[in-house]
Amino acid sequence: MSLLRHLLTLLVAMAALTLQAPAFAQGSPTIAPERQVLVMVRHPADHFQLNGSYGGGYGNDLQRSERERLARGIARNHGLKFVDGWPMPMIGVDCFIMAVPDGRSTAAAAQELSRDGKVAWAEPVQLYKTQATAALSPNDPLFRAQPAAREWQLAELHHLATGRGVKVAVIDSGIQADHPDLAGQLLINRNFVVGQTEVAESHGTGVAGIIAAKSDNGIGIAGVAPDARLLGLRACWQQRGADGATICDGLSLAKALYFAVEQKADVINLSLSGPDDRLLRTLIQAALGRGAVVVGAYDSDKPGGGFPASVPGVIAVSDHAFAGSAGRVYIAPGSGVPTTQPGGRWFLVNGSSFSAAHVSGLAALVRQRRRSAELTLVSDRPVGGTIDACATLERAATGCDCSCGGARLINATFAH
Amino acid sequence: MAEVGLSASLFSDDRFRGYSLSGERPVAMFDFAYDDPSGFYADSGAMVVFRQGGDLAPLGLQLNGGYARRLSSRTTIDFGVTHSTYSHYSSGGLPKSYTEIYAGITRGVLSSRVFLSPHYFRKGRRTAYGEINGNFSPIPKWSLNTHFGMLVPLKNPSATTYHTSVDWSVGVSRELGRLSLHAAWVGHARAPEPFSSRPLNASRPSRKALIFGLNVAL
Repeated sequence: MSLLRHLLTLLVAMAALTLQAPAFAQGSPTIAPERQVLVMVRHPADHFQLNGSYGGGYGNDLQRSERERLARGIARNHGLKFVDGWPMPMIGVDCFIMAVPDGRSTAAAAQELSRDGKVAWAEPVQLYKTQATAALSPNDPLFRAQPAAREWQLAELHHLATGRGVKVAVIDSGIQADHPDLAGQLLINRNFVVGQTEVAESHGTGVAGIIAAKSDNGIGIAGVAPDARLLGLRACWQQRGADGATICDGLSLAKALYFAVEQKADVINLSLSGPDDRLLRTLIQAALGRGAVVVGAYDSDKPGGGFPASVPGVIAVSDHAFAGSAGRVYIAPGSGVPTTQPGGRWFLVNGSSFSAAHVSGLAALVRQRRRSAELTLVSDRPVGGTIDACATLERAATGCDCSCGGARLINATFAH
Repeated sequence: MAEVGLSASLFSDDRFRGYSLSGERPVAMFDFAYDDPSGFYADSGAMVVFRQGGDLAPLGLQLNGGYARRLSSRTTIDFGVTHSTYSHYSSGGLPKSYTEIYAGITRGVLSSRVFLSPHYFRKGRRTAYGEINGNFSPIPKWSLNTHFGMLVPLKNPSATTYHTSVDWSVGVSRELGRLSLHAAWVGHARAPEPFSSRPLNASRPSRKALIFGLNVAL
């Protein structure tokens, strides 16, 4: 009993201290992301630490002390404020967040930091936007209303695969985990946006529904991969105001991407676009190197479809209506798509964000049938073009160059 | 860029491979670490024990140096040598020490090491110690740590018999800025006592213990 008492006392003390944690322990919600820079320093190789075995691994605290001392020194030397630190051993760096004083540009500060011999590289925290247009109106959902039901013959696809055993990371705004069409579909629902609490938002909930809404449950829609499981990783947030745009910052995206790779997500959906970013690019390459399929929304307003769609290995996806005259972009349904909405409702969405979600769902179906294979999309052009979902899945499942119902293909192209 | 770390800790007990060296009394620890960009590293630590009555006594001094190299994004190897000296408080008699060489591998959340000592707390007592550690972070700022170790006698001094012994721990820690809180359930089986006598003024330490404490990164 005395042991139990000690344990309870300790737990209560830990909980109390958690509630009183200083702001710098969780990053600084008071400093806008646009005023922050990310500073990458080479991460020393992990090794034996004195006192590292007992007491909950307190040898790790020494490494934390090393990292923070170095970061505080760098911040001091460059007139910046240390905010937080975050080890990323997977890509061999420690990432430090530093605030830039008003009146000084973050780009200039990052440039100056990059010339410091202690720094591997530095970059401003950049902002990204999801690729969606406003919802047309709320609508009663029906399977037949889903473009994928017609254009992709979703019911036929589900005879071959439903995404069972496949993990899809949705890096997006908040997902309503208890939506009747999504309840039980999320393995994890985690918030990476500093200074904000988890909240259900339109874009993330919509993307999640297209990928993995439950099927045959008598309500709403059927996801492209209804038996896949989602990692809901909130790195974006819906702005208040008339347009309700959904934006993301580079740091939150990096944290979510790192987590997705650590969790061995089979598919990573990035329905967003913004400026090229070395840290995010490095993490995407790490994901691809570990066999994950990364799907990005194509932004026709940006060269090459914007970042991350332009990263080699990332599948760039759009709808016909938003693709423009793009070369390597794949086309998937993205206009008038019914999907899940916060509040336990459904609505119609448009945008290449939702085309990307369709391809993430298709990638989950393919991954179920061929776990070790890369995603080979069958389309009507050598690279890019309209995806033949049936042929893509048939090829993965049976090796047959045929489409739904076994019809042999004549003009299909295998790519990616 | 070389990195230097300093930390101070308070713990309710000091357990070495499952065995309490502080007679289940609280300890304070001061640690220093240096990491060179070339991969070489060095650590040192000093411990004092809060004796009954409240006064402090030296408990031990540890030194460690080695080399670590990253083989891939998930895998590193390291090897080195560590030396620990414990005061007469721990041993219940004369100061005792041991030196070990070690080699290990870390892959993702798991690490494993083998330590070899030619004179493990006693001249001629040759031992091998193997350990597997896990370090998981299921929730940001929280970590779950597991440890399993086995000490195998390779050669016993004449007129002594030491047996294989095992130890283990399961711990949780919470990071709060520069402060971290720790709790661990630590135990051992089959008498791994490094000394022939118990710590001064201490009854025989229990085989299992909940230890907790805090660390401040300086």
